[in-house]
Amino acid sequence: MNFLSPLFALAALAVVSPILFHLVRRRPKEHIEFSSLLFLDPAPPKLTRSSQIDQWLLLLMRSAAVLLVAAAFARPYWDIPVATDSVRSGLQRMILIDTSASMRRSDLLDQAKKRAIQWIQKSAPEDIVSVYAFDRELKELFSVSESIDASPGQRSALATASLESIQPTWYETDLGKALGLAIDLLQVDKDKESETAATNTEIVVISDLQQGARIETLAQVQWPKACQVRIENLGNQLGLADNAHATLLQQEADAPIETAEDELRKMAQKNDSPIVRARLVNGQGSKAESFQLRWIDETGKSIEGNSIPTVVASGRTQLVRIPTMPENAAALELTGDAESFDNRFYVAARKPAEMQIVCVEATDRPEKESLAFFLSHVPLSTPTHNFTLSIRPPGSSDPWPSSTSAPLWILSSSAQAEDLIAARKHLENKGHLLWVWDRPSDSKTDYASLYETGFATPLGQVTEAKLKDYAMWQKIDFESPLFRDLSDSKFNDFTKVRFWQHRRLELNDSATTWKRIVSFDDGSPALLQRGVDGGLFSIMLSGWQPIESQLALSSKFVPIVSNFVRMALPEDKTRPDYRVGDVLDVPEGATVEAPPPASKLEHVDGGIRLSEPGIYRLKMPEGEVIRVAVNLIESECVTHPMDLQRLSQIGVPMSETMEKLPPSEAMQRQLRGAELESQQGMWRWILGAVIGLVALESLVCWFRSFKPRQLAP
Amino acid sequence: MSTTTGSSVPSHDRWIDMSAIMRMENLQWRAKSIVDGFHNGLHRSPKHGFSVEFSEYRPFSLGDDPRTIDWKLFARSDRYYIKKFEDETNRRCYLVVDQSKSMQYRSLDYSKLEYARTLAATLAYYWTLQRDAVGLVTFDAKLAEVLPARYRTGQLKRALTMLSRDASGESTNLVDPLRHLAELVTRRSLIVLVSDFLVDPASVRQALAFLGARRHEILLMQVLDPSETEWKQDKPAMIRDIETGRELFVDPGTVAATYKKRFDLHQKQWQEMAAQLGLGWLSLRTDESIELALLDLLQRQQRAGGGPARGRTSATSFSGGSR
Repeated sequence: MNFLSPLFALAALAVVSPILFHLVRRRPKEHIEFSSLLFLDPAPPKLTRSSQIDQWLLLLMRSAAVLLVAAAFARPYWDIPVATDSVRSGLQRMILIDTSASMRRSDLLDQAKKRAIQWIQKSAPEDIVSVYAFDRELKELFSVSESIDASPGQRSALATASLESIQPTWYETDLGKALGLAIDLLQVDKDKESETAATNTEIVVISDLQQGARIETLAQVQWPKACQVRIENLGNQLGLADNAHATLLQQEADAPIETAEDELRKMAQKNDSPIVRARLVNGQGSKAESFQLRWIDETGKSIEGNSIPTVVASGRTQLVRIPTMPENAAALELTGDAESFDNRFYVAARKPAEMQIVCVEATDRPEKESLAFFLSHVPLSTPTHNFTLSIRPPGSSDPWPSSTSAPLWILSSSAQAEDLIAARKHLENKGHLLWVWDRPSDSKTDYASLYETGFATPLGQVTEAKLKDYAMWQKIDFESPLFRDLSDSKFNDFTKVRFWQHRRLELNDSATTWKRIVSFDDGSPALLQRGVDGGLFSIMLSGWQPIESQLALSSKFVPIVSNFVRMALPEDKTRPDYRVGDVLDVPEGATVEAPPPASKLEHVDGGIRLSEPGIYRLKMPEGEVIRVAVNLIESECVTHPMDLQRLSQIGVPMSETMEKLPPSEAMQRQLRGAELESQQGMWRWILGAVIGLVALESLVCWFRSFKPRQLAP
Repeated sequence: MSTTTGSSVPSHDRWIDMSAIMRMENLQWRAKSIVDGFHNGLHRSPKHGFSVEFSEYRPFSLGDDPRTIDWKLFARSDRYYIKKFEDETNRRCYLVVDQSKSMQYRSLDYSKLEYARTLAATLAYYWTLQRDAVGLVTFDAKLAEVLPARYRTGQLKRALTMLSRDASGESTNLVDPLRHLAELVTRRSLIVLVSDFLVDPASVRQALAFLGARRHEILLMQVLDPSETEWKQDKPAMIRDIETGRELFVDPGTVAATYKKRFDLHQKQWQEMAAQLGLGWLSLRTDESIELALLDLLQRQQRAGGGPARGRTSATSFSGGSR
C-alpha cells in the first residue's frame, strides 16, 4: 500500500493523546469531607500504572479512530500494476488549443503548440488523443473519430502533425461553447469509444484564458462523470503584461447631453467638425500608463498633427475627446501599450445621403394652416441621411424627384389630380405617400373623386364629422411601426391631442385592403394605411395644423413624423461598423474586397463572414463603393488572466495541471498515484469506518453510564 | 482501634453494642447503661449497698493512726476498727473534651464528638458513683466552657447538660487550651483529655509536659473514626479538610499505603511521647465499646495497686502506651 500524502500520516502520532487522556485521571467531581489532611499528600492527576480492561476497549477504539483519520488523510492506495495499465489505456484526451485574437500576443501560440505536443507525448499509445482549435467556434484538427480510427502507434504522430496548420484568428474566445461542443463530441463518439476500453476523459485546454473569454454557457453544461478538465493557463504561466485598447464611441453630436458642461461644449463646437469620443481602457496588469492616440489612413500611415497624448492608470478606463476626425481617417490607432494586436479601431465614416421630403401644398397658406410649416420644424436628419423639405405647389408641371431621393411624399388637401397620378407612380416605385385631408371636403376638394381619379378605384364616401367640442384618437395600433415607439405607458397617452374637426370616411365594400391604424372616438377612421405596389399609402383624415387639431403642437408629432420618414427610407443592409465574426449581407451583383494583407474572404450562407479587422469594401452593382469597418470584439482585448476559481465555481470538473513539463519520473509516479488513489477512493471507506467507530464508542460510553456506580466505603 | 490487640482485652462480642447505645438521646442514660452493664459484667455492682463501706473497715493494728479509729463501732463492738474512705472523695477528675470540627467527622451513624461526649458522660457518671469530684472542660481552638470539679448534688447533671450543648467548634488547637487548663486547675487532679489528637505531637509536647509538671495525672483518650485508621476510599476524589476547608486530590492507588504508614507513625509518636511524659494513652475507635475505656481505667488503677477504683494513682501508673 502506498500513500499519496504520506506527510499526513504523521498525524498518527496524535494517537498518543487518547492514550494520555486514558492514563491521566480526571479531576474527580466528587467531594468527600475528611477529618484531617494530616496523612494525605496532594496527588495531582498522574499516570496510572494500569487501567481496567473496560477502559482498554474504549482506548483501543479511540486510538483506532485517530489512526484511521490519519490514514485517510494520507490518501492510501494499492499500487496495482494491472490497474494502472487499465487506467492508462482507458484515457481519452482531447486537447483544445485557443487560437483567438488574444493568442496573437507575444509567442503565445507557439507556446501553446509546445504544450500540446508535450501532452500528446505524455499520452500512452492506447490513449485516444484528439486535437481541436477553438476561438468562437470549435475547429477539429485531429478529431476523436480520426484518432479512434488511427492505429495506436500513429495517433501521436498524426496529432502532432495536425498542430502545424494552426493559425491565430481574429475571433473572440468562447470557452464555454468550445467545452460544450467538446463534450457533445465525446458523447457522439461514445459508440466508437465503447469499442476501445476508453472510460476516462480528459480535456486539456491550452489557452491564455483572458478575462474576456466567455464562460457563462458552461453553467448549463452537463459534465460526464469520468471527465476531467485540465487548464494550461499560458497567460499566467508566461506572465504577460496586460495591454490597453481604445474604442471609438458615437459622435459627440449624437451623444446624449448629460451635464451642463456637455451642453456648453456642444454649443461651442456646433459649427466645427464633429467631435468623437474614444474610450481608452488600460488593462488591470498593464505596465504602461501613457499612450498616444492618432488617426491613420487606409495605408496605415499616420495622419500628421493628430496625435493625442493620454495618461490612463492601469485598470482604469478613460473617455478621450478627439476634436477632429480627418476625412481620410481609416482607423484610430493606440500606441504605447504592450501588445499591438488590438491597437487599431477602424472607422468607415460615410457622408450622410441627401434626401428630400416632398410636400405638395399651396404656398399661399398662412403658417398656422400650413402642413409644411410644422414639418419644417421637425429635425429629420440622421447621421446617415440629410433631409430637406421641398414644398411643391399643387398641379405643378416641374419634374418630380425620383422615389429613391425623395422616398416620402406628403400631399395636402390642396393636391390635385395630377399630383395623385404622380403619387401613384411614386408608390409603384416603392415610395411612401401620406395624404393629409386637412380641409373639410367640399366641391373644391372632393377627396373621394380625387382618389378615384388618381387610383382608378372608388374609395368610399367622405363627409365632414359633426363634432360638439372635439374628437380624440382611440384604438391606436401600437404594433404599427408608426406608433411602436410610443407604446410605452409613459408615452401612450393621446388624450391631450384633440381634434377640432375631421373627415369621416365610409369605405366602399371593395376597398378592403385598407388597414385602420388609428380611429377617432366616434368610430370613424383617423389614419388608414395600405400597401400599394411595394409602396405604402397612408391617409390621415385630419390635419395637424392648429386649425384642425393639436397634433402638430403635441409631443407626439415629432416621433410620428420621424417614423413616417424612417419607414420610407430604403432598407440599408450594411452598417457602418461591424465586429469580427459578423456576417455581411452582400447584395446580388455586389463584390467584396477584404482588407490587406490577407484579403481572404470567408463565404457563408447569406454573405461574407468578416473574419479580420480592417476596412472591407462593398462594391455595389451601380458602382458605389461602401466602406465597412470591422473591429475586434472588445471582450477579446481584455487580456488580464482569468481567475480559475470562476471555472470551478460554475461546475467545471477541474483537475490539477502540470505547470512544469515534462514531468520527472517522481512526478509521473505521483500523478499515477493520484489517479489510482482517486479511482480507489479508499479514504472514503476509512472515514466511514471512523464514523462507525466513533458511533460505537459513543454507544459503549452511553451504555456504561447506566452501570451502577460503586459507592465509596 | 489500633492498640487493642492485647490478650487481656476481652473480645469485641462481649462488649455492649455502641450503635445501640448511641441511639439513645439522653447522655445520662447512655452513661448509666454502660456503667451498669460494666459492673454487671464484672459482677461488681455498685448497688450492693453497704458492702463497699463494710469492706473498708479493717482491724486496728499497731502503727495505725489512732485518729482513724471508728469510735462508734468501738462502742458497739468493743473492737478497734479503722475507716479509710476520705481519700477517694478527695480525688478530682477533669474531663477535657475536644469539640473541634474534626471531631464532627463520622462514617458511622454518629460522630466522634458524640462518642467522645458519651465517653465523657460515662466517665463522669462512673466517677460520680465513686464519689469523686468531677469537672468538665470543653475546648476547640481555645477553652469553650469550664465546670470546676466538685462532688455535690447536681454536678453530674450540670456536666451532662454542658456536654449536651451544641458545639460549633473550630479547628483543633491543643496548645492554648492545655496551657489555659494548667492555669485553671491548680490542685492535683486526674485529667482525662478526650480528643482525636490529629495534630503533630511535637507541637503539643511542651504544653502537655507543662501540664504534667503540675503533678496532674493525665490520661489521653484518643477517639478515632474507623475510616481514619486506614484509607478505604478506592475512587479518586477531592478530599476536603473538615476544619480548614482545604481540598486535596487523592489518588487511592498511591495514598492507601502512605496513609497507613503515616498514620501508624503518628500513633507511634503520640504513644512514645505519652510514655516519655508519663501520660496514659488510650486509643478508641468509635465502633468500639466505651466499656473498654472503663476497663482500661480500672486496670490502670489495679496495676497501680489501689484496689478497685480506689487506689491512689500515680503519674507513672498510666504510662506504658497502650492500655
